[in-house]
Amino acid sequence: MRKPVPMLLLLLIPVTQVWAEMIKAPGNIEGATTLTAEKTIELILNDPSLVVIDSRKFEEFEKGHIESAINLPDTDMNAEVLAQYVASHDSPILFYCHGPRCLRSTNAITMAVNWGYQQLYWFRGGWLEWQQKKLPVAQ
Amino acid sequence: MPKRLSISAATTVAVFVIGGLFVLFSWSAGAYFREAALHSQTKSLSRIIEVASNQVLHDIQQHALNIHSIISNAESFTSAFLQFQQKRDDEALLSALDDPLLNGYVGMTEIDLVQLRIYDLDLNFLLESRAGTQGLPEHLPEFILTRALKREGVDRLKATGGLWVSDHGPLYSMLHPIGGLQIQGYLELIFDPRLSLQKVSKISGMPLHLSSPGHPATMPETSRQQNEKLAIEYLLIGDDNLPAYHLIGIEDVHQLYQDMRNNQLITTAFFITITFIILLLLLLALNRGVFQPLKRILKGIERYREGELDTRITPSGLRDLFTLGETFNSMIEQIRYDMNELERHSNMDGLTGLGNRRYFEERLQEEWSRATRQQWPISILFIDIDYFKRYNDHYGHLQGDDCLRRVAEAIQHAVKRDVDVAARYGGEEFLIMLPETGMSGAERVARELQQAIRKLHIEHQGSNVEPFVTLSIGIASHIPCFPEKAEELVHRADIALYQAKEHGRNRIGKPGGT
Repeated sequence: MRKPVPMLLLLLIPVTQVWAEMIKAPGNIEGATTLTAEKTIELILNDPSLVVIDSRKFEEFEKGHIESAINLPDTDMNAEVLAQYVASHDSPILFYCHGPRCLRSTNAITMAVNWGYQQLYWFRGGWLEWQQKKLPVAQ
Repeated sequence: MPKRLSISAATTVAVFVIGGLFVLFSWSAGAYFREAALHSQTKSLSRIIEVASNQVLHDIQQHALNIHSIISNAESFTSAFLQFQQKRDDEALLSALDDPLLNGYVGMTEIDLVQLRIYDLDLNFLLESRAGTQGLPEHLPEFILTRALKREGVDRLKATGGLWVSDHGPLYSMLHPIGGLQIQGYLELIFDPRLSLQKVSKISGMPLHLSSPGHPATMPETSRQQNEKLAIEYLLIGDDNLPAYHLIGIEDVHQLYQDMRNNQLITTAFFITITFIILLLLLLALNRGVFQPLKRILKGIERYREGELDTRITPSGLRDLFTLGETFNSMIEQIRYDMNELERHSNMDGLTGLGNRRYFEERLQEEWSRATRQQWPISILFIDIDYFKRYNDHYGHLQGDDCLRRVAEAIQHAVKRDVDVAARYGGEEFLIMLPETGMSGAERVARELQQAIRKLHIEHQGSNVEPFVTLSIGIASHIPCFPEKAEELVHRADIALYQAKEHGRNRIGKPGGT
């Protein structure tokens, strides 16, 4: 007699993979533009009014970050704190965190969308992509 | 006769030669597998060195990124660079470059930073640290230059570099932008990879010997002294596609060698044992099935040749040899039978089946000499069918032959003992020889014979004596003395027969009266 239990467990493998995919940050967030590292730099260089927000914890930020970025973890962020850094609801804001599996920047953008910010950018690849492309590190 | 090997000797030699070849084969197969194992060991160890050195190069890159980040983010460096750009004052920038080389930096124990250089945006050399190694080649390697100049826009911010071979020896260069995202120029970090490559030894667990082309590899003492060190070579190719380093890992294969030797010994010993057991069994089987039966046959033939004509072989062994043995036996039998037949035919009278004259004379000679030795009497009966010529004329030759046969049969019956010989002497004349028999015995035999013939009652119209066939018999008896001849006795019997015929036939004649 075949035991059906291991067979059922085998069936679960694709299911767990789907779960793992779901943990990843989404490819796009409603109300924000997704950028690569290169586009991020171009945006920083071309728009001096851009506010770059690093949503990671301070310990991570300290070790290295994108030049001109402000450290504001999503857990510490509320409408008032964000308003301190950003001039108006039309001002461009770019969020990033550790990488594609990190949900901090996703959370932050979702909140910012809710608070009515119009020009939102998301550097989805985050710090991992930055390092991988051997781009200059600010400390 | 040329010297020839016997089958058993040849087979034994062949079997042992084959056995020896098998053992040799097993040994060389063992040696081959040993070589193959070593080769694969070398290959996998070489792969380990490759992976380890790639890891080391990756580490150098990470260190370069870290060091660059430390230098370029230092307030002193940025302000010094600004000062240099605006006032062409290089003193502050030079001391900012000397600082990390003189005072150390994070990870300096694992990486050997030898020089820091500043380039402008078009990658023209501006200045280098005074604390760094002097006399390094002045220009960036070709592959970094082309790679860096080809880039445009944001891509120019990305650090680039790699391992390359300078006149000074292999170097690892990493080119980083200065000025953060607002690129102002380039900082080149130059490392001597030698120190970092020592880590390959730690990663691979093998003592490592490093040499760059032009500097011949010095083989470690141990490998020259002992065979049990395996030198694993790996050629590290730089990013400029030139061979940068010869990495030679020294693996202690003492244990491996010992294991392999033991394995080979055990395998070979096992093989030898098995082979010889099989060979022994084979030889035993061959001995039983082939050699022994063959020997028996050969011995039988030998015996036969030496004159033992009724020799026989006990057939044994494999079918062919068994058949050979049986055939030999039946052949001997046949020959023996044929010889008997031949002898019999040469001694026999064709018509009557009695002995012929030659046979009679042979036997007479034997018995005569025996009688001479033993001083026995010997008697001869000379028998003649009366008027047989007339019988032939009257009844024809066929019936004549028939008559002869019947008389001969009667004569054969009259002779009772084995030693007595009855023979047809020619025509209608017969002879009987009776050894150890005197005149009276011979007379009795003659009378019985006449009686027997009379009883046969063979009709004979031409006879003057009786109307049926009768016999005249002459008897001679004698105890022979040397040098008397047997022919004399036959002659005397003939004379006695003649006398019997003279006296009217159908009677018995004796020397000196009928």
